[in-house]
Amino acid sequence: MASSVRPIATPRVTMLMQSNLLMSSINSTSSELLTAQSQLSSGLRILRPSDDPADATVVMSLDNQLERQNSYLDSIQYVGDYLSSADSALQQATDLVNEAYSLALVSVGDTIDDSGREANAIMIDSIIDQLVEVANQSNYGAYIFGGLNATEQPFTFDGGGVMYEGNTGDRVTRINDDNLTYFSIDGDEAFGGLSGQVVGIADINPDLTSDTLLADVNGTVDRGIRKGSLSIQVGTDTYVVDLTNAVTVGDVTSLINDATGGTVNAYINAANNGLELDATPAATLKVDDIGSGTVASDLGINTNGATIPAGTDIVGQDIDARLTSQTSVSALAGIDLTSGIVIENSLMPDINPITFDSCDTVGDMINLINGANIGVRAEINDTGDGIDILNQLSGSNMTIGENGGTTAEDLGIRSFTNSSLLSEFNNGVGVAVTDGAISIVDSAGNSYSVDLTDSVTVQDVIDKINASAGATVTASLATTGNGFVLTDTSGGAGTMSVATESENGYDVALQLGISTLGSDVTVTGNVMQGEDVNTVKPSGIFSDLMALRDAMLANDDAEITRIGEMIADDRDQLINMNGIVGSMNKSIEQRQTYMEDNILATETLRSDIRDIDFTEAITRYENLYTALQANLMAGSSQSQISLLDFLG
Amino acid sequence: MALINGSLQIGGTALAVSQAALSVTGNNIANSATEGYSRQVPQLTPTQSYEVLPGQYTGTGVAIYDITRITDEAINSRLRSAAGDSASYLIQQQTMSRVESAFNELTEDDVSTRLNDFFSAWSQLQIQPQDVASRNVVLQNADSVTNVIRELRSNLSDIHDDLNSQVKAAVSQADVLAKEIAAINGDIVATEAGRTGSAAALRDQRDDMLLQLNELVNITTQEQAGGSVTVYVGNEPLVQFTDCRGLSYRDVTNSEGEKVTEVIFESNSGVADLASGKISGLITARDELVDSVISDMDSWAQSLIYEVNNLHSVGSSMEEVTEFISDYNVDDPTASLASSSSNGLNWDVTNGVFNINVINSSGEIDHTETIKVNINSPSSDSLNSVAAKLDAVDGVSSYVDAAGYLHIEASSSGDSIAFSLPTDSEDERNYDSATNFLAVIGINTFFSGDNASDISLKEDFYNHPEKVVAGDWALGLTGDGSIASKIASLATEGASSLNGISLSDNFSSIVADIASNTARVEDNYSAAEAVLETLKLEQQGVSGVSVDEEAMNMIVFQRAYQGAAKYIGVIDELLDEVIGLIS
Repeated sequence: MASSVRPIATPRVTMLMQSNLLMSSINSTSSELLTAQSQLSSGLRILRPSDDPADATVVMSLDNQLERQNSYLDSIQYVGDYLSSADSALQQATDLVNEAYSLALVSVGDTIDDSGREANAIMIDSIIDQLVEVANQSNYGAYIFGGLNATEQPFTFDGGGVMYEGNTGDRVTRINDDNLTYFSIDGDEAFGGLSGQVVGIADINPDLTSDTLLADVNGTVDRGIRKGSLSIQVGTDTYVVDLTNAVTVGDVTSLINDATGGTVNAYINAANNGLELDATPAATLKVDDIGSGTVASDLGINTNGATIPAGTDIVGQDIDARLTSQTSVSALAGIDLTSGIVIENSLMPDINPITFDSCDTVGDMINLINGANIGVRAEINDTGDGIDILNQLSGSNMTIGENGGTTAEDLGIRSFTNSSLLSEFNNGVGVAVTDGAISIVDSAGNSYSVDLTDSVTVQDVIDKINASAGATVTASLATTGNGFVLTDTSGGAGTMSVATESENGYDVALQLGISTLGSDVTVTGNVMQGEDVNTVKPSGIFSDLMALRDAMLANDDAEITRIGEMIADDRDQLINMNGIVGSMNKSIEQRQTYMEDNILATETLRSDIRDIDFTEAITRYENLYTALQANLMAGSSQSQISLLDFLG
Repeated sequence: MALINGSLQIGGTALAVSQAALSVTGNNIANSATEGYSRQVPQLTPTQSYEVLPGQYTGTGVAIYDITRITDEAINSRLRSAAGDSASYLIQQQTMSRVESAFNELTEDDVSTRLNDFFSAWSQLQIQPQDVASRNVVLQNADSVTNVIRELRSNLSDIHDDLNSQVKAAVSQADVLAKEIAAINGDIVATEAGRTGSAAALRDQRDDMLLQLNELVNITTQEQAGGSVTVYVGNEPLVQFTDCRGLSYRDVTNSEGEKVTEVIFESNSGVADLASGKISGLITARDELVDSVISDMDSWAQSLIYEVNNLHSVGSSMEEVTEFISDYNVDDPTASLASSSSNGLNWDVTNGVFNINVINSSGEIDHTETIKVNINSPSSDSLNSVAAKLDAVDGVSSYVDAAGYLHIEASSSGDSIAFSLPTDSEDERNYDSATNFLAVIGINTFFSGDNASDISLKEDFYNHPEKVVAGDWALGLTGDGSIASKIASLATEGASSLNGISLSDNFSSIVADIASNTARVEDNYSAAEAVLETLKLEQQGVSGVSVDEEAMNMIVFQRAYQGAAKYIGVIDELLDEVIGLIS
């Protein structure tokens, strides 16, 4: 411990030797003493990384971990605050909806008169106001129910309805090194701010182009294109094509052409749904994946061991390009883009038909619809094969129809089609087809009775009308706008009329939107244009409250009762959501405890490694101190004596 | 009378020799505290015999045939080489200790703490992207981490420069010593003039110089007949008799493009082969220890810049931006972007796409265009061709200016421009298809600079927290903190530019390298120092003066003198007797 100088065997001891040895011994002891002293005063064993490089690395990594864990703890606390705010907002909303439900219950029957119902309707209006306020609450400057749109009020009054401007994206935060947690509740989940989308039948299957991203291709087995290398055997030559850096279909074809030195020409096949390969000069072709790679199979050009004879092309399988906002309209084969569509949202002013002539991409089409500013939102659906159009304006009915062509139907966004279900008409009330019948009188006075029993879809109704009244009146779908169209070919002088034959107590013609007594049904010449009764509106609390208010003002007991039930469902939905938020909150609290425990554990571990053991350090200090003392004593007494002292 | 005279002669020699021996002893005692002094021992010998009686012989007295300087050339040479090693490691140890202090790790004020704070700030921004305070925290932390990185880098440069000037000073010091040794060689040869070893003081002086020179440069020596030493550095002579070839240095660029200093012989500019000694220690410390830390720091900082910029560049800020000008420029706008070595950029551009969005005056996306940057043989894009693609987008004008900077502007007034990435089926940004073009050229980026000495928060951000990109603000996603989240996760996720090691881990490994290097050179130094001290003891054991020993010698020679004087007295009495007979 005392000196780092190795003892030597020497026959002679000289004066300088003694003093040098003493000096170096004192130096090294003092320096160790200093280290021990600074360790004792700081309480740390490792003051500089070089004190113990191995342990210092661990300490640094624990330091990093601690700093991160503290940041995760902050995030967790933020999420906890958010969830508590959401919880209390949902609680307030539940109370308000409960109040509305009570009002619905007391507004039915003989105990209340029309003026009482009117007063209740005013209270419902105030409930709507308060609910909008609750739904617009914010936490740390971000609207709670706005989804990823944090700075715009999610719910606003517009045209007498309530517009949801929020987004349905989930807010997310990191709660440990490897996990993200999604924590937000958006206005659609909580209050039903958006309608369901118009479900069309069309699967839009865009053409493959050289600009198509490989990431936007589903591949032959719906696993996307898993990049790698493939081998192409042309005659007797084998080429390896590395496609790991390919990003677009164009990259794939040019990499293949380049790697084979031009002997193989790859291009998009005639069906525009996959690839095609041929060889110049003509030669046999064989394409294979390399090792466990799948890129050739995913691209649909793996010949599966077979050798394609010379002169025959490899025509790749359909690799199913997804619809994206960047899909060029030119890739939308077979879709009528010139005619356009007619969109109406009942509380919003009517707008001109939207035509897509000027659009380059699907994104442009979507921007055009969203830019109409009538509370209608378009987006590409989750499966990437169609466009969804949603109604954001609670209390308002949206209809999407044709503008003389087939655009809406081709895009799968027409709200009233041959296959629309009668049961969904009139906001879910449906059409009472059992024992339901209508009577049609043409302009020549011929009267027909059409029995609608067992009709399920729009097409069924058209078929039944044409079967019963086909002689002079034919039914079809509107070519402009939506609804049934009845064409009278009898050439009489009168006016065609359609009415319900009272058989089951329901006004079936009105429910189908073809009663000439209905307000929106027009008869022009020999053509009757029906009304779209399959409109789309947000099926949430705001729509229901507005419907309740309208029913109260209309003194419609049956409707009040029906809407009352729906409001009870809404309340249950809110309670349910409240429960979900509660359990999320619970789990985040557990997270917080867990993280706090983790931080404590990390701190303990760090202290175990980095801190000194005081007993050991003090003992060492004492030892060093004694050694220094001994050195000094030995040194001073040793240098005092000499033979010279004894010479007389 | 010959007999008596002869006897007197015997006493005379004894007196003279004892006196001389006492002088040697006295000189030894006088130098008992002189560092580098080698003790001297008088070698006595009986003189020639003569016939005292027929057939009987005795000696004629005593003589000193040599006063020997007690040294062990083997120990001296080991001592010199140990001194060289120790000097070399001392420099390395001092250097690493300065480097380690510059990093100041394991405190609350080091780069790793600031870096963690920086990433934590992004993590907070992720959940509150609309919050200006959170944005300010990001900017403050970015400023703080870049400041501390630059400060550290400049401290390292100072250490480098300091070592550089020390190399120069040490080389000229060695040069002076070599010249002095050459001069002293001449003195020794002249003084001794065939009596080898007689110029003991000069030799001690030369030994000391050789030791000093050896502390600077690793030398080997060879004593020549006549007393001069030839000094070699490696296999080449530095000093031959009175001839010194001189030492100097020059800065050269080595085959790997690094600037290094070579120590050369002045006479022919040949490179001296340095293996130990202070100069070699200085050069090793500078080129291998400090410069490797500097280059590690530079490439780490470059990765930090690149990784953050790469994520930041494909999102939009709270501000409507009408014009972007690139931070970096190309040497030749027609050169392929594929390889940074040919176009003057810092990184290779990768094959892929990004989206450019034109936002109209009411803040809605007017249209979006996907720009493909082609980096595939045979035809890769140049900056000009990418500018042309951008320029072809409706509402966008783009060009490369004369200095090689890329400009992207909204061409209609009221419009603004934002960047994004195509999204995949889960609405997540499609990073797999993305090109790093915007980050490489420095558009919509966060940091400027390309190494640790110039890394800095871009000036645009000072007092403009709204310019920080946290997500896709321009796409209406004001609560989208997904880019902030990606940047925050750079703390732990492997970075492509660091071969899959995270930025934090990479920095920690730089510090761990420094720690183990520091510990290593400290160990080396204390080992070398122990060897040196031990050898010094050994040398002392051989050449040092023991005062007790000299006191004994003093007694011996004193007694010898007393005896001889007595003897002369006896002979004198004998002579008196004889003379009495005559009178």
